[in-house]
Amino acid sequence: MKRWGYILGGLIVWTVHFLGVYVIASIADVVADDGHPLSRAAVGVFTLACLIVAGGLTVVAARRWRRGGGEMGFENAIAATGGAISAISILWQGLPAVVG
Amino acid sequence: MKSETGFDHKLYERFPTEGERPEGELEALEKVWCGPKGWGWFTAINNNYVGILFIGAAFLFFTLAGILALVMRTQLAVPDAGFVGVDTYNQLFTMHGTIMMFLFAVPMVEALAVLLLPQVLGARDLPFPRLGAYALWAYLVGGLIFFCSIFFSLAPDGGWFMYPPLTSKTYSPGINADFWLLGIGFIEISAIAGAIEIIVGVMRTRAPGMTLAKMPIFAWAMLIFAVMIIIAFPSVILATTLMELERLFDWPFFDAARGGDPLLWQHLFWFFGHPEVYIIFLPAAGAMSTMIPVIARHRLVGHPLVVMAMLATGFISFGVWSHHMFTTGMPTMSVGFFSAASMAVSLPAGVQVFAWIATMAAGKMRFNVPGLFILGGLLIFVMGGLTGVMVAMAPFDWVVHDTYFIVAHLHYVLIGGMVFPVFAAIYYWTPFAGRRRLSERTGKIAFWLMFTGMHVTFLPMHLTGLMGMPRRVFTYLPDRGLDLVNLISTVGAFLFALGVLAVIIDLVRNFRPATEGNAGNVFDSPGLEWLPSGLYSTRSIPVVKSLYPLWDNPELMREVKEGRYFLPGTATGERETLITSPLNAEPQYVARMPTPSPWHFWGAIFTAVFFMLLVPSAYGPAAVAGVIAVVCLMGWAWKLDEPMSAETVDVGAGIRLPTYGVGSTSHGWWAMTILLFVAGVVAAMSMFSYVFLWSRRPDTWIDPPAMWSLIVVVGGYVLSIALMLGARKVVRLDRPRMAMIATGMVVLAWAAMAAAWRIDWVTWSGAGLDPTRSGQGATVFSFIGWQGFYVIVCALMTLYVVMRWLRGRVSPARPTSYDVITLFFVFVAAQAGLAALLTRLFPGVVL
Repeated sequence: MKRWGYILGGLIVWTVHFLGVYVIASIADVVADDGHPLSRAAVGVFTLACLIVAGGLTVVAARRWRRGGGEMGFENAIAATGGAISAISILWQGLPAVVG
Repeated sequence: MKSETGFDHKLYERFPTEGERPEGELEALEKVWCGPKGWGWFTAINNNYVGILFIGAAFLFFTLAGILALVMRTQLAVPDAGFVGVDTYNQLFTMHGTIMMFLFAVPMVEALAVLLLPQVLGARDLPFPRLGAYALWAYLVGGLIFFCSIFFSLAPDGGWFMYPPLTSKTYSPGINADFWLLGIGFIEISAIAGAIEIIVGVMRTRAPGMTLAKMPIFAWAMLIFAVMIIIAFPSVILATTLMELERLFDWPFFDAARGGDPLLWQHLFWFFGHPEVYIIFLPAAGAMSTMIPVIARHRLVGHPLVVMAMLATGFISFGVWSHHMFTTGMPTMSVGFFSAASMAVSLPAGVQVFAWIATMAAGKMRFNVPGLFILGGLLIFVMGGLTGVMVAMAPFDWVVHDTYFIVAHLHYVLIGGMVFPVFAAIYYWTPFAGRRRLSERTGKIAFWLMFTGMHVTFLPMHLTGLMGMPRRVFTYLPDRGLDLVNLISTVGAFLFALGVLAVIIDLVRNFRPATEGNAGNVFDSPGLEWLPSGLYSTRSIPVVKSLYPLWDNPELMREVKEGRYFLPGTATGERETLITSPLNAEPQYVARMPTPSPWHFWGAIFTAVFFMLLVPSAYGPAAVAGVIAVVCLMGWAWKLDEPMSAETVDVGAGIRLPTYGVGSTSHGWWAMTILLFVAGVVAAMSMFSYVFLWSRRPDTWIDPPAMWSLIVVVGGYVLSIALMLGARKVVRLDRPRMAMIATGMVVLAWAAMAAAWRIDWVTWSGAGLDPTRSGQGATVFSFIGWQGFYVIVCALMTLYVVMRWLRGRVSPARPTSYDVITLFFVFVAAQAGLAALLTRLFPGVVL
C-alpha cells in the first residue's frame, strides 16, 4: 500500500482538496451563505495547504526520478507528474473562492 | 530490485529451460483445457468463448440502439412529421441512451477485457471464469428482455437519466420506469462482477516479472476502469433502489413535499454518470495506446505520462459530476469548484492525445483500417473535448444545457473516444480471435461512411442547439430555421448506419472464431496476446522482461511454444494458473481454475428473470425465480475451496509453489474485499443521502429512540464481530472438535447480528417514525431494509458453513472460506453499527 500511496500521492491530495472545498461550501451554504468571507478564507487556507503538500510530493518524486531510472524510475515519474497535475488542478479549483 | 514476497529473482535465470519436454505434457494440457461440446457450449467459461459472446452481445445492442436512433432521426427529418407519436418518441430516446450507455458501452469494453486480458497478462484465464460467464448471461438475457419492452410500448420513457419527479409514480404511473430501474439494477451487478474479476486479474495473475513498469498500457487502462466502476456504480445501484422503493412503497426520497429532494437523485445519478463516460473512454484510450505504437512502428512516447494521465483522469472525473446540474440553482461557490474541476480534467486527456500525436510523428503511421479509425477517432474526440471545455464554463452551459449542443458534444466525445477506437480494435484484434483478418477494402469503405456520416449528423447539431432546439423533443415547428439542419443530421445518420452495416457484412463474411490456429500476428505487435495460444492461453507462461516482449525478444514465441517457461503442462493435473504478487508479479501459488458447470449459467438466467418479473409485480413467480437463482449460486459456491492433490507442485525449472493461498494472499480474499468496497460505497452514499435530506428539511426530523436501544444494537453487532473473528482463529487450530466450535460460533454470530437488526427496526417503529412521511423515515428504513438483505445473505453463508462442517470440509489447512465469510460478516455488522450511530446521534447529539 505504501508504494501505491507514493505513486498516487498527488492525486490523493487532489481528492482531499476537492472533498474539503465542497464540504466547506456546503456547510457555509447551510449555516450562512456559500460566499461568506469566512468560507472563502477557509477554502483559501485549505487550498494553500494542499498546494504545499502536492507541490512537496512533486518535488521529492522529481528529485528521485532525476537520480535514476529502472523500476522505481517509472513509479517516480508517475508520482512526480501526477503531483504536478494535481497541484495545477488544486490551484485552479481554489480560484473560485478568490476571484468568484 | 527488492523482492516483494521473498521470492528470489535469480530463479528467473533458469528460464528459458533447455532439453526435451516430457512426452504427453502438451497433450495433458490440451485435454484439461478442452472446449465444450454440443449443448455444453452454454456452460463454457473459458475467456476465449465468453469474450467472443460478450463482444457479440454488446455489438448486437449497439446495432439495436442505432436502429432506434435512425427511427428518431426519421421523425426529426422534417418538421411536424408524423412518423412516430410523442409517447413512442419518448421511449425511443430513452432506450437509445440507456442501451448505448448500459448495454453497449461498458459491456463492450468489459468484453474486450474478458477476451484479451488473460493473454495480455500471460495468464491462463481470468481468475474467476464462472463469474465472468455469469455476468455475460445475466447481461444478455436481461438486456434482451429489457429491449423487448419497446415492442409492448412499455419501454422506459423518462430519458436515460430518469429524473424525478417526472419518473415518480404520480407522473409515470405505468411500469415503464420500473423496467429501467430494475433492469439497470441487475446490469450493474453484471458490470461489478466483471470489474472485480478485472482488478484481481490485473493485480494477481500477471506473468512473472511483469512489474508495474512492464505492465501493458491496456492492462493499466482496464485496472483503472474497473476501480472506477467499483466506486461509481454503487451510486446508481443505490439511486435505482431508492427510486424503486419510492415507487413501490411511497417512501419520499425524491418528493420535496414530504421532505425528500429531487436533487438527491441528480447527485446520486451523476456521481455515477460522469465517471461512467470516463469508464467508457479509458479502456478505449488504452486500446489506442496499444494500437498506435504498432501501427506507427514506434514505441509509445511518454509511456509513464500516459499511465499517469489515465490515473489522473480516473481521479478527477469523480470531482465533476455537478457540471450536469449547473442549472439547478446550486450555491455559486460549488458551481465554481465543479466548473474548475471540469476544466482540469481536460489536462490529463490532453496529455494522452499529445502522447499519441508524438508517437505517430516519431514513427511512420500506416493508414490501414485500424489506423484510419484511430486517426478519425482522435480528431472527433478532440473536437468533442473542445466543446466540453466550453460547457465547463457555467454561464455558457446555462445557455446550451438541454439543447442539441449538448447532444453534439456528447456524441463527439463518445463516438470519437470510444466507438471509433472500438472499431479500430475490432479490425486490429480480429486476427487474434479469428482464422482470418477482416477485409481492408470493406473496412476502409466503412470508415469513410462512418466518419463522414458522423460529422454530417452531429456537426450541425452544435448550431441546432445554439439556435434553441431542446433535447428530447419529438418534433419542431416549421420556419424556425431548424428544418435544413435537422434534415442534414438525418442524412448523416443514415450514412453512418451504412458504414456500420458494412462492418457487419465484413464480420459475417470473414470472421470465423478460432480458439486455436488464429490468423497470427499480422500487424507485428509486441504484446503477449500474440504468442501462439490455445484454449489454455500460451503453452508456457513467460518471464516478462520488457514492455514490448515480442519486439525485444524475437525468440520468445518459439521458447513459449516449446514449453520453456512456467507451467509448461498441468502441474496439478487440473486447470490452473499462476497467482503472482500485485506490484512485482512474483509467483506466489498455483490456483485451481474451475471447469464448466451449469450452476453459473442457470444462476444468471434466473437472476435476470427474477429482476424482470418484479417489473410487472409478479411477486410469486419472481420469488420462485429468486429461490432457484440462490440455489444455483449455492451450488456454484459448494464447488469452491476444495482440496488439491498436492500441497506444492513444480511449476517449471524445479521451482515449487504452494497450491493454496491463505489470508490476504488468497485471490478469493481479494475478490471479497473488493466486493465489500462496493458495498461500502453504497453505505457511504446512503449516509450522504441521509445527511443531504436532513440539510434540506431539518424541520421534519423527529427524535431518535431511547439511547439504551443504541447501546443494545451496537453491542449486538460488536458481539457478532467478536464471535466471527474468534471463529476464524478457532478454525485454524488443529485440534479435535475445533471445526464444530468454529461452526457454532458462526451460528451465534449470525444470531447476534439478526437480533441487533430486529431491535433496531422495532425501536425505530416504536419511536413513531413512518417511512412514508419524511426523508428521515425513508432513509432510516432504507438503512434497515438494506441491512435486512445483508442479514439474509449472512444466513445463507451460515447455512453454507454448517453444511461444509457436516460434510467434513472444514480444515485448518484450508481456512479461506472462513476468512472470506468473516470479512463479509464483519463488514455487515460494522456498517449496520455505523448506520445506527449516524441515525441516532445525528443531528441530535452531534449538532
